[in-house]
Amino acid sequence: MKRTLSLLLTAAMLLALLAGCGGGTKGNVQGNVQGNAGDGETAKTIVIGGQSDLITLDPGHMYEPYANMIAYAAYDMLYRVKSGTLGTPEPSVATEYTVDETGTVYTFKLREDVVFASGNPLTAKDVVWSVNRVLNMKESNAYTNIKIVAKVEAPDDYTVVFTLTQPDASFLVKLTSNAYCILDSELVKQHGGSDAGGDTAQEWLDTTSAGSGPYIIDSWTPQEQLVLKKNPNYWGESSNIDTIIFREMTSVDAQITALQNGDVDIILGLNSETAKQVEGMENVTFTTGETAMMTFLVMSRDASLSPEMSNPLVQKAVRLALDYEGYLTLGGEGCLVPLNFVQDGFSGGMERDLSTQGRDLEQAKALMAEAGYPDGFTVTLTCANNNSEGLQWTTIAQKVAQDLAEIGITVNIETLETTMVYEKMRQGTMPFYVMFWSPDYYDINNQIDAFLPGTGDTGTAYGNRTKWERTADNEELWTLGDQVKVETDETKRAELSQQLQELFEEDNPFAFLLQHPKTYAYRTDRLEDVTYNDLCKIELCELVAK
Amino acid sequence: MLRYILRRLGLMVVLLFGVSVLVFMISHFVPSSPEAANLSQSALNDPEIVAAYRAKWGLDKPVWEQYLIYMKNILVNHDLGTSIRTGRPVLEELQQYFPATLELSVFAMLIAIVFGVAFGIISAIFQNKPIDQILRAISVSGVSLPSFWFSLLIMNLFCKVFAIFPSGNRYDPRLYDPTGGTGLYVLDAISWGNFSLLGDVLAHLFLPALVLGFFTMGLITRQTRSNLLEVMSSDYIRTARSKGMSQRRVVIHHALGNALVPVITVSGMGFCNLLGGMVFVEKIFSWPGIGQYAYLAAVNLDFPAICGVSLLIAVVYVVVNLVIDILYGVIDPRIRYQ
Repeated sequence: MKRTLSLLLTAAMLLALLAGCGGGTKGNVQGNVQGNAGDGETAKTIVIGGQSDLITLDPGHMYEPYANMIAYAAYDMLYRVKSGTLGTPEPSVATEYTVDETGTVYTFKLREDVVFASGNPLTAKDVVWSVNRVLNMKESNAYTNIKIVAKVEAPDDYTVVFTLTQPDASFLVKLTSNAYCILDSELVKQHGGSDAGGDTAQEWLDTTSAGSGPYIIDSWTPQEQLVLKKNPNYWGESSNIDTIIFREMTSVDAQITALQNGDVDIILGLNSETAKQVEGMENVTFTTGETAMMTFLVMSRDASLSPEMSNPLVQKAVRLALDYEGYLTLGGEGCLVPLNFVQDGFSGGMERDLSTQGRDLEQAKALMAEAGYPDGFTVTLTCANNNSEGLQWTTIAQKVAQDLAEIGITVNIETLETTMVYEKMRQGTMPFYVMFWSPDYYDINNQIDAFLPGTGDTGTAYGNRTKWERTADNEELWTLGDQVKVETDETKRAELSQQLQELFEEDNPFAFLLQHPKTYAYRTDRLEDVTYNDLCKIELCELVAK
Repeated sequence: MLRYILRRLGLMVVLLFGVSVLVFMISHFVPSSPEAANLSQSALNDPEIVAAYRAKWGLDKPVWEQYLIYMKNILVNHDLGTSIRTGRPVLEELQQYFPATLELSVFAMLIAIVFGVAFGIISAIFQNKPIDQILRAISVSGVSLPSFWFSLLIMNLFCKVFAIFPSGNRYDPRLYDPTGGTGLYVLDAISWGNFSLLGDVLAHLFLPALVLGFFTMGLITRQTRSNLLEVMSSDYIRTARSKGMSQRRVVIHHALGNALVPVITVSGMGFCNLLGGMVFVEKIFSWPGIGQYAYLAAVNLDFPAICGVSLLIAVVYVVVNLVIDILYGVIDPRIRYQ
């Protein structure tokens, strides 16, 4: 009897398995779970495949690379990033702003026709509440972008006044980040939200959204999928896509295969190498978008770690010994070499001119001799088990070792887990390492606060990590940097930025190798052109289904 | 028997305590920190943010105090703590990820046992014939091919070239939404009477289960074959044959039962081995299970999650071994429990 039952059960499962393989999931499946959109039109569903690493949907805690893709779909901010740019702000819920003569008081007028998905009107008190909520979450990554705000007030329903702790020419750019998402305060308060500390709304906000964006978060199963449904109360122009599903796909091979089979419509995990696999696929195209992610070498100024590598002349020699053309080849189409710490696309961002500022082995060797190391030396290059937009750091490290061997530097590569490298970086205990950087907000000010010299509690991130002291010799960097940080005239700011980069190039403890592109692919039979914006990756409300 | 089970369960409590101490201490002695793993580069340079972060997660307390708080929460509040990485209760997250892994493991074992035993029997019956050579080659491949390589091979073949199976995940989100059940989608689909969903879920399950079960299948094939050959040369089998019994009857009714006892041990070990291979297979097939959760917990030094996963896996090991020990007694009446 038992045996018969087992056989029957096995047969049933095999039959069901065969039924499942018989076309239900293959090919361009047009059916969906949404049914009809109404008015006789078929509801449109788009599936995006990628590895988001999303850990929360609460805009006050979000930080992950794909966080703003979801934040931009479900929430509004006063300003948003202009499509196709690397961080240029444009008004969203705000219509206009004024700034006082001190540069610290910003007054914004708000649109009066914005409603939350719940139907509640969006007013200035929601903006104030949302900002104060994050100001009281000091343990959150989002706090980095919002701590410039000293106070925020709502003199009337449609006016918001921000007072900053100091003048900040990047304030409008900061406003475009998820830290400034406007939440439906009445709704969030009902679920543990607080603007005075002790907020417990994250668990609820991980299951839904409380915003006024074009989509509503319908469901989220971490590491599995996120479902967005069109917001019927959206105040702006509505998309023709009713449901967007972000499907977590940890393997690039699985993403490519799913795209080929029509199981997903967009994939985000490609790099220049894997993109070759989608080349020539029917109804599929791949393209690149500009990102602000840079990969660079860090050389500590701490002589106790490596007396040789900490020598500024040696560091300059390293920059001259690198084969930048070779790194461009490794990075693939769309890559570029920034002159130093300011990305192309940011105010005054400069590319390295490889004909005049590229590799010069003779000069590099002369610098090595001048530094007292004509025969070279041996150094350890630490490299995390990580990648920049798909380019493995170990590959970069091998190329660095090969390049530096030509000026007598023997590089021993040490590979560690990423978190261990981060900890060592934070403690400043590595003489030489590979690192990447993606800004917290898309403005040169973020770069200045990270890369200029300075140690201690008020020091910059990489000042502390490289023990690059702020001294009278490099004070001019800060003079220029401080001017850039407050200059609101973009032309003047770009000029100051370029002067700063040229001065920085004369002496710094870095070698900036690449600014990477983002490579992605999509099905042309399902979607119109898909554009990329590094802050929110794919701007979901701009997708147009065929 | 009952006393034996109770004693084993009592030992499990001691084991879990040991696991919790060991994992908690080892994860705290890793040369990194949760703030380095979870805060942004800018936030990491801000002493105010770092201090607030350490205070929020209790990292500013001594390790022994953190451990006592953790144990108190488990014993008093039945709470495995909150994940530092995600901010969600660890128990809730284990409940989300474990069903996916359980479903995958059970199907992998099913494939391993069904095909392993069948191949083992065929190999033994046709000893040194071409079919035996082929099946032995398959079983050797099973135990020697790295799972990540085999995963990519299978995916390319069945998902890309022949395009007959989906390349990853647990179901087609365009067609179905199986959330809201037990998380064991096969059982959910059966209980809802949704056979279309069942087909879709099984189609997604088949390849990762095949890859995962392939190693254990190889072990079982080899074990079954050698056991069966040994048993077939026994006196009582010769007697059975001399009485004129057919080969089929001799193998199935007389030899197989005895040959399968050691196979149960191998199956138990194989089940535990599955958990080790889970990380690669889950990653390649985008399977949202405990393997991926454990990996993310480890690389982000998410102490509560690391301890939660370790305790869960320890429980699985102990329970599987207990079940196997009990099965011995059921299959072989000579074995008595004391």
